[in-house]
Amino acid sequence: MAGSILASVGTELPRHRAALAAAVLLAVLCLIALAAPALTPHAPGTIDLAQAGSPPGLGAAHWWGTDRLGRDVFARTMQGLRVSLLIGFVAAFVSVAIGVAWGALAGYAGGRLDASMMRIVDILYALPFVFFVIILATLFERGDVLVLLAAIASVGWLTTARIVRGQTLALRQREFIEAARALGMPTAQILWRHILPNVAGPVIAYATLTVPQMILYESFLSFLGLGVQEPLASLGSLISEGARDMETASWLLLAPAGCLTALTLSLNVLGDGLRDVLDPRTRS
Amino acid sequence: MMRHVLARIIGLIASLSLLVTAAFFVIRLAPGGPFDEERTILPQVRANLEAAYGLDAPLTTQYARYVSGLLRGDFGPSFKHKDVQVSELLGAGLPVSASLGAAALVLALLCGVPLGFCAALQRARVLDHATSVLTALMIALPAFVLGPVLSLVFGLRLHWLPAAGWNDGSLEQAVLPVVTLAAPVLAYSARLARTGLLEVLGSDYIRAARARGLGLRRIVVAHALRPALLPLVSWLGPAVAFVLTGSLVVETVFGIPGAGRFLVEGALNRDYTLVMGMIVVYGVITLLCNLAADLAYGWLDPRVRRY
Repeated sequence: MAGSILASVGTELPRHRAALAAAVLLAVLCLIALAAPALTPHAPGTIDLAQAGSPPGLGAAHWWGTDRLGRDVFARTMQGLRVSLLIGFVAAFVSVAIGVAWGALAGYAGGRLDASMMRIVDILYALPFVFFVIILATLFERGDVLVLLAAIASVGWLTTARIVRGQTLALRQREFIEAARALGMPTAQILWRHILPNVAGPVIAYATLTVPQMILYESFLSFLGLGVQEPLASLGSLISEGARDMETASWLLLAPAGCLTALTLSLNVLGDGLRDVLDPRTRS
Repeated sequence: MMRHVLARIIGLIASLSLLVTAAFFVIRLAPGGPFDEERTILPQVRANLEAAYGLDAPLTTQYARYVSGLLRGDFGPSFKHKDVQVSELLGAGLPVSASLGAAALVLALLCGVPLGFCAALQRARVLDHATSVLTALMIALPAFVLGPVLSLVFGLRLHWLPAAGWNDGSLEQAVLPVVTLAAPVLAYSARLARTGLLEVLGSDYIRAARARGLGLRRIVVAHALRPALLPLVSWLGPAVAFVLTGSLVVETVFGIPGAGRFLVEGALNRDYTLVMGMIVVYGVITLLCNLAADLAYGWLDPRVRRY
């Protein structure tokens, strides 16, 4: 099954030109973010007041300019990009894992358990959940990346749970599942060996769409001053800093804003492409 | 139908009480309190303060008091804004937030839905591709990027519009914040309208209508538009939550005196009653909009009324 997912992505995604371009852009962004310490002699935290507020330029010592404290904007933006990527991917992984477990269990169990589990999802869906995240992020130790991760990941699992539950409900009726049950396979093993591989396609597609959401939630919290704290920076906190100084030093805003846009755009377009290829419901 | 409505209303009340209870205890159990300041206050003063605000009672008693106050429409006094009731603070901020949010929602739907329908009718032609690029961009640009960038370009560089401020919601002040808030909602509604119409146009009864020789325009207007709107309508509840969240950022970016700042500010200051008031009000708005979307769905699609 894993092989067939790879095969269909390999043969069908290249025909989806936008998604392919997005995948390339994403790969380039990740590579630059990781290689940044080798690309610039400046460390993200080094303060050089003599160079403070110098504008960007190709021949300049700081080619994306410096901020109010003379810190190199390129180095800091790339550090922010790494933090945002890390938080986005980990939070997406956690929330997708919760969603898959919840949805597969509800769909496979069926009946009353299914009804009550999905009722919980419905209720949570209707609540202004972001407010809860804001409260969690504010009330507990600020800048604690783990609390931040937990708060963000707690929002993202609902959609995955719905999708997986729907798929599992359909799979449950199939002969091969019935055969496994007739042969005495334990439920946990059926879920792991037969259900999971069959829902993997759509899950991968929606996981790709969850990553930019998680990145946006994190940046949103950091923008409000509730997320990652100094000296660490994420794209959101850099944008918030840049917005304060944009009148005199617009590059402080434009550098992280451009990176965040490129990142979320490439992930969204790639996710849409993967969904077209991997989700049977959207296949035409 | 009556049973359907009744069940939904009971569900709404249940969700609301869950929200209020969970929020109350999460906020109270978090470390810190409203009277923690850099300047330490005398133990007696603190005890008097806590007694005056009823914080010395057991938590469950406080909860019961708060809920009974809420039922009488009393949000309690603010802990940080001296001598001010939470309802006064919210009363000053909410009209501003509401007009901002409503304007953004109306703009988004008025532009997004026709755009999506046109894209669907022009499938795989220039307009369709342009729409999909535009919506992808609008979804990727969060309010905290779009807002400052619009303010920089149109406010500080081109001087066409004010960069920030509200000035009682005058038209030129409102353009940039409303556009910022509307952009992602516009993009989502355009996408939903497009896929909704495409799905309906591919269905058997439309093919049957075409086979009988009805013109495309007649088919779209008379048979396809209503069912094509269904996915959009069921998304309206989350859309309102989306606008409320976005307004927190937009109000910060443009310095608008709405209610949004009370949530973050109140949570940071441990202003318990203010945060609770915000959650109750925004929670009620979200849940009511979900209910309205639900009922509208039943009205548009007679099949769901049976349940």
